[in-house]
Formats: sequence, C-alpha cells, structure tokens
Amino acid sequence: MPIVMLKSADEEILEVDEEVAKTMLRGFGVENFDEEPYPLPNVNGAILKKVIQWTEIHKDDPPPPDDDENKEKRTDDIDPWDQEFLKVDNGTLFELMLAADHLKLEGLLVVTCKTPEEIKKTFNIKNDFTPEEEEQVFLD
Amino acid sequence: MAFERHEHCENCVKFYCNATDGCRMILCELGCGAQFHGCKMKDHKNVCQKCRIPCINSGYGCPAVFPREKLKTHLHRCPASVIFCTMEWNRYPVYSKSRLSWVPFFQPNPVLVKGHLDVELAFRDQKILREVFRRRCKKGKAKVDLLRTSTITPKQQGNSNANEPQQSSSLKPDSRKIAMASALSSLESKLRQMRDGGEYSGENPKTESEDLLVKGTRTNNSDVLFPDGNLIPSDSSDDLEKRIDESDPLEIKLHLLQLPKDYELEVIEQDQEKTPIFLDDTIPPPPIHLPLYLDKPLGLNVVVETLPKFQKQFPMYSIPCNQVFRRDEYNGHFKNVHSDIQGGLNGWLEHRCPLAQYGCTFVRYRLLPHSQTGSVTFNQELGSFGVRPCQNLSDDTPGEHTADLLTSLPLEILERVAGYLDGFSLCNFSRTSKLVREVCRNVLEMKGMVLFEWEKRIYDNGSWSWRVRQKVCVSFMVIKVKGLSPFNLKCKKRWYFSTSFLSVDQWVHSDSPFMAAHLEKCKYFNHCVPPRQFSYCFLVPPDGNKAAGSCSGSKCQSNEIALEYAPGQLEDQMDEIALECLMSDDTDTCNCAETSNSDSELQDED
Repeated sequence: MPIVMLKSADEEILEVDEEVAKTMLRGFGVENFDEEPYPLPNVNGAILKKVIQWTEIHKDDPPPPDDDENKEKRTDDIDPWDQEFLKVDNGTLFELMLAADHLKLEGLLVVTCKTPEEIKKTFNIKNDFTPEEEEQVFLD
Repeated sequence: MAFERHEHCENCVKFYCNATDGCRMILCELGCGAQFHGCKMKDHKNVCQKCRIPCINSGYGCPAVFPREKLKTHLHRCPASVIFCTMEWNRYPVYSKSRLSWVPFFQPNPVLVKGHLDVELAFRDQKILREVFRRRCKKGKAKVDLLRTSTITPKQQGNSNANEPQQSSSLKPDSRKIAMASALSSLESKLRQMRDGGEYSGENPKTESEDLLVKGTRTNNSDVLFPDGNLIPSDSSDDLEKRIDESDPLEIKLHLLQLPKDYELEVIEQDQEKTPIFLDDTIPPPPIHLPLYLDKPLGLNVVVETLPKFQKQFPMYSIPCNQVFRRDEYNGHFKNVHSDIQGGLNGWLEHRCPLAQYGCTFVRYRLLPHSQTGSVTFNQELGSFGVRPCQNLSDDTPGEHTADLLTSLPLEILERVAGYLDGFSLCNFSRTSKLVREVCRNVLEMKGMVLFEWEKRIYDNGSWSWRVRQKVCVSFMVIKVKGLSPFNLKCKKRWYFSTSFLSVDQWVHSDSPFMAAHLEKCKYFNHCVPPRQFSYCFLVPPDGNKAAGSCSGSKCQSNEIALEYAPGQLEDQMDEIALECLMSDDTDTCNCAETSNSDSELQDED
C-alpha cells in the first residue's frame, strides 16, 4: 500500500495510506500524489490527525444521500464510534467542523454538526440582545 | 404548422402520432418525458410533475415553490400546515371558597422546588389561567365602556316617562350587564385596595358592590329602573368611572396563597356562574407553605387530573395546551408530552418521596428519555417540556473558556448546525445572540412554521370581525406595468419555531437507586423502633384461614379479640387492655404471640 504524505498548516508531515488520503481529499478531486507532501494550509497537525483517524474508519462508507429533505434530521443516530471520537472539548470540535468543511468531508461534517446540544450553556455565546429583542417571533 | 381547430389534437392520446391534421409532436419542455401535440403544452403544465408550483398552502403563508413531484414530501413538513393542540387537563385549586375547605381534602402541595416537572407545569398552568382571567377582565371593561357610551343616547336622555315600559324591556339585558360589570369592577378595585393597603379593613365587605348588584338585580327582575330613568345612576356614575379606571385589569393576578388574594378566585367563579358570591370572614385560612420556588406562591394543586368535560367538578380549572405545531411534529408532541411525560407526572415518571407531604423534596425520575444520561426538562419561558438527549459530552463548565467559539464558525456551518436542531432547541438557540438569530432566520422555512397576524376590527355599530393584518409594500416590478399601483398589500406573517423536541421513541428505566434506598436515609421518615418488647391487640376475623397472616395455625374462635403478650410488658397497661378486650383462651393467645412476635415492629405513630 503506497504511502502519501500530507503537510499540515503547522508544517507537520503526516503519512497516510493512499486510499485514506484519496477518501479524505475526494472533495479536491486529487487522484495522483507526488513525492512531495500534499499541503493542507487550513488544517493544523492535531486536527489533521483526528481527521485521518476518522477517515480510516469511514473510508468505505457510502457517500451520504444528497436529498436529505425527505429524511427527518435526527441528532441521536450518531454511531457509537463517532460518539466516542467526538468526546472532545468544544475548541477541537469546532476545528474538526472547519476541517471537515474545508476538506468537504460530508460525513464528518454531518456528525460534528449533530453534536452541539445545550448551546447557550456549553458554548458560551455572548448575549447581545436587549430584553425587548428577545422575542421568539420572526416577523416577515 | 398551426391549426385553427385542433380536432385531432384534442382527442389524440398517442405517444407517437404521425397524423397530418394535428400539431407537431413535442417532448415536454420541462423534461418529464411526456410527448404530446405541441398545442397541449399549456394544458400539460397543469399536471406535469416537473412543473414548478407554489405550495398549496401558499394562501396560508408558505413561500415554497418546487416541482410538483415534491409536493407530497413538502406537505409533511410544510411550515404553513400547522395544527393547534387542543389537549386539556384539569387542576384543582389548592384552596376554594366554594367548599370552605381545601380542595381536594386530603393533601396539600408538597414543598415546591424549582426544577421538579410537576411543579414547573403547575406554574405554567397558573400563568395561563392568570392570562385567561386578565383577558376576561379586559373584555369586561371594554364591554362596560361600550355599553356606557351606547346607553347615553339622546333618545334616553329626553323625557323617558312616555316610553318607559318599552325602554325598560328593550334595555333589560344591558342593565344586567352593566350591573354585573360594575359590581365586578368595584370588586376589583377593592382587591387592589386590599393589596396596596396590605391588609383587609375588616369592615362589612358587602358595601357598594352589593348595592350596585341589588339595584341591578331589581332592574333585572321587576323592571325597576334607576331613579332618574337612566340606566346608570347619576350619583354613582362618576364613582363607577373612577373605579373602573382604577382597576387596571392588567394588574389582576390569580389567587395566591395569601388570604386576601384568594378573593380573586371568587371573581373568576362569579364570572363563570353569573351568580354573585360575597366575601365574608368565615373562610378558614389556607395552609401556609414556605415555598422554595423564588417567593412565587402556587395556587394550584400539583396533581394533574384528566377528566372529560362533562365530568368536570366545580372548583376545578381546565388548562389548555394552546400550542401550535407543524404537522410532522404534532404526533411526537402529543405522544411524548401529553402521553409519556404528563401522563407520568403523578408518580410514575416523576416519583416523589412518599413523605413529600411532610416536607421531603426528594424526587426520583424513573424513566429517562433515550439513555441513562437523558433527562426531561421544563422551560418556563416556552411553557413546554423539553428533552435533553445526553448530558454534556465533555465536562466543560460554562466559565472555563471565555472565547465565543461557536459564533466564530462560518455561517454555512452554523446554518448546518441549526438544521440539526429541533424546534425546542431552536427557540432557545435563536435567543442567544443577534448573529445566531440571523442564522436561525435562514432555517425558518425548513424548521419553523408560519402564521398570519390577525387583527380584530370593531365597526361603528359595535359588531366586530377578524381579518389578517395587511402591510403595504412597494413593488418596483409593477411600476413599469401601466395602470397598476406600485403599492400592494401583503399579509403580515409571523414565523415561529415550535416547542416540539426530537421525538423520544425509547424510554429507559433509570438505574439510580430505588426509592427504598432514599427512604433509609430520608430525614422525614420516623423510624419507630421500640426500645422494649410490647404487646398489642388485634381482632381475629371469623374465618380462621383468612387470618393466616397474623395468626397462622391458631385455633382462634370466631369474633375473638386476642391479646399478644410479651414478657416485660407493664402490668398496668396489660390490665387496661384487658378491660376492653374479651380475653380468649390462654393457649390460643400464646400460640398467636409466638407466631407473630417478631424482633421489631414498625409502628406508625399516627
């Protein structure tokens, strides 16, 4: 199995199987890898390691269906491995989201986006509403 | 080749047709694959599956436009296809004047603790009832105002003696209404005085209000008008006006646990029954609780009753659910909220300590949603139950990191995150910050629902109707078209997120320790372990077999009272018991004593 080298934003070079790299970089349409490490300037080393770890497990997954309007979007159907995988602090979770978005890894993006619960409490969003604005109604 | 008359085309149903007297065959230009004569394209668009059509609920505000084939899937989650939940349940008030007693008679509320589901729901219900009562007061006031303006007409102000009988008969209902309304408003002002003054004067409460009522009733029964022929007595009209102005219906609150405020309850009752109930001093004081719930007293019993309407007893309120849901959310709402959660509040899902009436606040949640880490919550602002599928994955505390991580994500990721949240979470999510609110606005069509804004129009003759509120918007496209006004009216819409949550298909039994484990260390549980052996009396039932539990294998005779004897029992106590009991045979007593003499007996002191 040929080995491909990936270079992260912080100049870390990681070696992965070609198959895994192809799955990971499917969104970029990369087919052939050179001897040079492939640069990924938007993803840092630690996150890239996590992404590689996830891709190794999910490399054989079928691509998620495009037409997800028909399907009810549930957040409690994350598979157990992913649940364990995503037991990270929020900073890492968001970095993973960004990396998944950047690498166009649909499957990873789906599971990472499903995870945020209890938004206000956990994610420490700054409330910039005045009391009058705190309405539930959206006027059109 | 165009034909004036399409005789052939109209009747031709062939897929391939080479007829010379018809239009040219074409493929559907929208790509559905149908072939037909060219003149039928317009007709075909009415049935073409690829033709883009507005949603059939567009008249109700749905903005979606999609190919016809998507209609079925869209209708399941159409934002304008909403259902109003009509579920109702009942509650007794903690205290009711009508029975001069606490209703129901057996148990007062437990100590109220914020976060217990039944308490939270009861507070929500109290809020709803208060709102209903406030509206009723407002309506009553509006009616009084209206009647007052309509009754003072030139016709009545003139000489009323000539046509007095006609007038009295025609104005009879009005006079009753006015009398009722004025009595109500005077009661309200009295209540306000009592609350503002802090104490009840203790004088005869039946003063002005009763006078007014008596006058009104007399008008009602025997057609006696007020002295000046006018329906409103001149001497009291200013007074009445002042009183009505004083009594701001917005200020009225539902009965609370303090004594003077309980009178408000009676105003409701009076309104319901149309019979005046007067206040007197013979009411026993309601129980005094020290609620832990942020100094908000609760006037309703936490026990939820569900009675059909025709069985409803008098001192009982019906509380409606009053929430609106999208069609696809409704079944989950009804099943989870009304059936699973509310149905289990009285001791099944939420299991209170049996000594709750003595002050124990322990609650055990027997069933948990989804998994052991799930929990049911109640959001007072939304007035609805919610489900927390799992506790925080990481044990972050809110104060640990100060950076606002989530909102630093790109908008498209935030939108995607929002797309996975249920209505209940989105309601909360959209209220966190302005940025997030904008994000939620983008998922409204997918996750929210739309309702028109209705307004009430009152006409000059007093009748009224409801219509959708309109707003004027300028359309720049129309300016070019001659003869059309650039201003057109558009219905005002309101978008909401519903309070439904991700439906719970599986409830798991909690693996927390059972109630018995709590009772072992419950400080309200009086363990009565007698220091010494003791004796007690018991009645032996006529049938010896049935008494096997208490007196197994004994040769007890019918209707005997046996006396258990234990050594060390004081002799004088023995004598006292012996005086009242018919002693049975010595041998039998010994048998019984041996069989049922256990090491320690738990005895309820009560």
